[in-house]
Amino acid sequence: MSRPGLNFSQFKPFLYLGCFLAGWLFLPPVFKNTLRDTSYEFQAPLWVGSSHLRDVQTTLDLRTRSKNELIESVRDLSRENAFYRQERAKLNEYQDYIGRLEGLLNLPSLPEYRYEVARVIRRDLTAWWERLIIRKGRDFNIPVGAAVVFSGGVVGRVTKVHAYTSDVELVSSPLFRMAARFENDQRPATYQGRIHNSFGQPFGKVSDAPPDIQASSTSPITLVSTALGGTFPSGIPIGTVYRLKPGSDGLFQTGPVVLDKRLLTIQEVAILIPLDSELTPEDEEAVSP
Amino acid sequence: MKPFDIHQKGNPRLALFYPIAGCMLLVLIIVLGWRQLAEFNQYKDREELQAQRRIIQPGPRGDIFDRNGKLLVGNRPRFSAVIFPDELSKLRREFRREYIRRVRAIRKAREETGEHIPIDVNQLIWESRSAIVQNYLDEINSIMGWDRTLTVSQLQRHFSQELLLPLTLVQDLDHDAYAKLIEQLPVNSPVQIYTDSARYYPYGSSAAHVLGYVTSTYLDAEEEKLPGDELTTFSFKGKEGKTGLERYFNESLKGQSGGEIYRVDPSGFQHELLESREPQKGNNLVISLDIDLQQMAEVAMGQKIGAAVAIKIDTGEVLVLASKPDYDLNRLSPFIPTSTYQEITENGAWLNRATQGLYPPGSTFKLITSIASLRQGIIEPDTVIHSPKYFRVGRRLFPCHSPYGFGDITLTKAIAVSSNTFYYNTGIQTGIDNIAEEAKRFGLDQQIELEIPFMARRMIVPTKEWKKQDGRGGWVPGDTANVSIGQGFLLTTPLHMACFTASLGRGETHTKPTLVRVLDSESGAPATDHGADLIGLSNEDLQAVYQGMIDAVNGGTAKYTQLPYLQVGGKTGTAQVKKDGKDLTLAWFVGMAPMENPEVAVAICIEGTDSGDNYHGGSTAAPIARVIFDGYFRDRITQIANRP
Amino acid sequence: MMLKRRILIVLVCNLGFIFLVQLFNHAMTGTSLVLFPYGILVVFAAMNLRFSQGLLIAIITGLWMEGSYPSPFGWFLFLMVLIFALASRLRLRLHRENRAHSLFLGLGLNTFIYLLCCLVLGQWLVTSPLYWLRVAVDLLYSSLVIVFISTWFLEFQVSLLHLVGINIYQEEIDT
Repeated sequence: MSRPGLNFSQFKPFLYLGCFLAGWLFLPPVFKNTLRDTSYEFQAPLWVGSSHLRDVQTTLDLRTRSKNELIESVRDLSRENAFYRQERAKLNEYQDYIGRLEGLLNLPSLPEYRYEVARVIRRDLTAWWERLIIRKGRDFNIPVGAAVVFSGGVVGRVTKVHAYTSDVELVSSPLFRMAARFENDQRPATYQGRIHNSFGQPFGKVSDAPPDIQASSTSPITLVSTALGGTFPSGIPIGTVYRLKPGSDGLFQTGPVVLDKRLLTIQEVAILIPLDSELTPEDEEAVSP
Repeated sequence: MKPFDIHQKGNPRLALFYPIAGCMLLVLIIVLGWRQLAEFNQYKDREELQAQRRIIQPGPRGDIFDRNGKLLVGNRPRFSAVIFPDELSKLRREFRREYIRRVRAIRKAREETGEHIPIDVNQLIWESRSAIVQNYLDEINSIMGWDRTLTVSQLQRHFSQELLLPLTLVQDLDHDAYAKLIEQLPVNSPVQIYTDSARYYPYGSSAAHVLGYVTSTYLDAEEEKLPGDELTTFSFKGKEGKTGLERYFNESLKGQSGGEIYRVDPSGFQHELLESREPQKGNNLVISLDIDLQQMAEVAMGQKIGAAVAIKIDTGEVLVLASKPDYDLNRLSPFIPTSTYQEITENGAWLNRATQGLYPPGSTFKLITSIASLRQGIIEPDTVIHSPKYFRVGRRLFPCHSPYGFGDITLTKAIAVSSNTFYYNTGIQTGIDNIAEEAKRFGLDQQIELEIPFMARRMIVPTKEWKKQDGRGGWVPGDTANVSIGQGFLLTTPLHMACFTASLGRGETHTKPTLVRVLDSESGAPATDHGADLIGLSNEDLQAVYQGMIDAVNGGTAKYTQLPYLQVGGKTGTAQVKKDGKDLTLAWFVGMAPMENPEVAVAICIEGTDSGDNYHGGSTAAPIARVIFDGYFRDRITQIANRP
Repeated sequence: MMLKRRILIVLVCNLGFIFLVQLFNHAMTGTSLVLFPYGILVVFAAMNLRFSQGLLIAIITGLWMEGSYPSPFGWFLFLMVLIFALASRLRLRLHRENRAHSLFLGLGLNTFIYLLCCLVLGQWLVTSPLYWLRVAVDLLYSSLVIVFISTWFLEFQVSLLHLVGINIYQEEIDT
């Protein structure tokens, strides 16, 4: 006999919830994956559209500027371009020199990358994940795992590629880990993102740092990427280390890595795509001896 | 009558049962109380024993530095890809799923074929576990392009003996593999990189015999003074010094072990961390060796077999202690491969020739014969003795190394040219008892206490009694003649000769060598007390011996030690030995510098390996000593010259 | 037809709200403050619509969120259905015309799902004090925003329904 005041209809919501959960558990994974991808791709145009809208907004904003301002900007731009052309020529010279040395020493040449510049359409930085959604995906042959960089250094790694967009795990995410090294030192260490304070600067942590490396607030050192990990080219800045604390075993040091604050408001990134990964079977046949 | 009313009235037949039931209840309460209160600790201990496990993790060993602060022995990280115990515990669900999948597959096969396929539950459990772990190993294989496997028996061993330690999938990852796995394994993967330490020797084979090596060993839980002695204990392998300083200073170098006590579930998997203590690194050690000088000596010795020792005369600090052939210590870390062990054994490189090699000292012993003769008043510094090309003892002719002899010479000249006939003569006059006594005064028959194990103990300073006791018959004058020039039954080590030279440099009879860095008297530390007596020679006598050593370098047998900016004094020796039926030569040199105020004493001994080897003290050993003197003094002279 | 319109309108409001919140969060990344006001998404449906209609809205809203966030698939769907079930259970005790009730329900549900997310999505961070500091700041921030916008958001849905001829307050709701 049921007690007065207790009737079945009161538990209807929870019964439905239970049925729903049971049904969900038995759904085949293929269906779930399709549902997820569909759900994502369904709303992707909204984000791509809003991103284009922002671009248009920027263009319109620039149009409101006076002619003089524009002329000045173009002049600055030309100057910058000239500088970069010069730098590019220098770089080419160095590359030729390195190529010659590699040829002389019979060294295998370092992996080469092509880059794709992409606009950031959404920054999604919560306490649980830190990712960017960028406006290039399978349409530009972006591979999963590709390195993503910007003018300030490492941005992260591509974790998922959709039809017209890709997800990038940000370097400050606690789920992001990479092999790193200190500038002017070749020994690898481990970098991992760390959760950061509200209103605070993004940061990470370097561990397994060699015990003889010294860093202080007056002479900080830069943590850079190493090519050993296989994702990033060598020497791209990750962040700055101001202090290192030796572990009790004396083998290693650990310390916080202060990342570039611009990461939090990043608008544009470059995806580094290893050229090897893009070789078709025919290409591979052609290059193999 | 209401139900149960019957029980409201007393039933006399039941009266007896009330006290019995009461007593039983009382006994029950007392026993329960006893168990709960009095035996509480015992049960608690038993529960702890069953449900708790202890893990001991060794602390890293301390570093060893040379006298100038250069790292000689350190720890290098050793990376392995492992599954940590807590992750392994989480994998149980996957194990179970795999097991069910396999059982179903067998049942399906049974139904399809109609055959009875037996199910071996135990085997299936292990195969399922192995398959899951192999999946994770395959993840590593695909990143690295490897093809590694983990056998069922390896997994079984881990589960039965090391369940609370990390399950190692791949050991000794190099930097490349480390970086790739760090970057490409997901952060929350059960496979993680585990770091422990292996001994690292930046200078490879340099000073290998002094530094020594370590071997892996399970830690003695009782010695580690960690709580939980009674618990089942798992231990990571620690390191224990096997030879050299690593062994002698093992207790100081080895770190303080850390420990963790876990509560485990009924299957023995890690459940909850109850107590933890971080391992601590061992003490560092600063030793007296100068690694640059050591390397110079080793390079100068090249592929020759032998030993070189350099000692700081005032403190007894050993600056160089080289023994060839040697071995690269890094090849012995983290373990000694059988092939390496065999190679070192075949080369005879395990022997530390500086402290364990027993050799007749040859003509370097003439310095002791000289001191004995002077102390006994047999000769004076200006006594002239004829040195022919032969010296007759009884019916036997003892030759000089010069085909013409040296004519009439004094002690100084005799030392400089290393005249044998001079010393046959004076030695026989002095007598074996006095010569032996003098050698013993300088400690040539005593084991040297140095901070490395297995020092030579069987040095021989022959006497009449010794020869008789050793069953070699009675003492004859020829024996004395041989001993006078450092041949015959005499056996000593290069370190003994270096200590003797250092003692001679201070005008004392004993030097206490040490491998530990001693503060200089310049820095305010008191002068080292070697516990020695004065030699007991007049200044004139002592100067005559010194002058002989100077002349030996300036134009005598030791001229290859000459340095333009430094007055070196020395004595060469070339001894003959019989080994494996072959007549071999030993090239010796002992010396010190600067002769104005001796600072460093050196002893070199190079073994001939073939009858054809044309080794001589002057041409083979002296140049090595020159390198050592030059290496030690060149910088100091420059420093002194640059002082404002 | 009427039923379909009301579902559509409430759904569009929810999806639009999610999009706006994400846009807002995108713009605010420089401050590292994250707005998480999704607890109020089910309040209107639970208080004013039939159970089946509300459930459908909760499921579609959850699915939409699944597409926008990299959480384990099904997590937000589960959360939406769960808080919808809770809100439906509580609707008898609350007055739907009373905005304070809706506000407190929204705040309570939002805090509940936010903390659940913190425990599940950030399970490897729960030992970090910094994590909980950030969680506390974000929760406070989200709650304040909910206080300011929930009335507007609920009234907006009522007005939209009114525009298409549905006067929600005059209808009898079959519980």
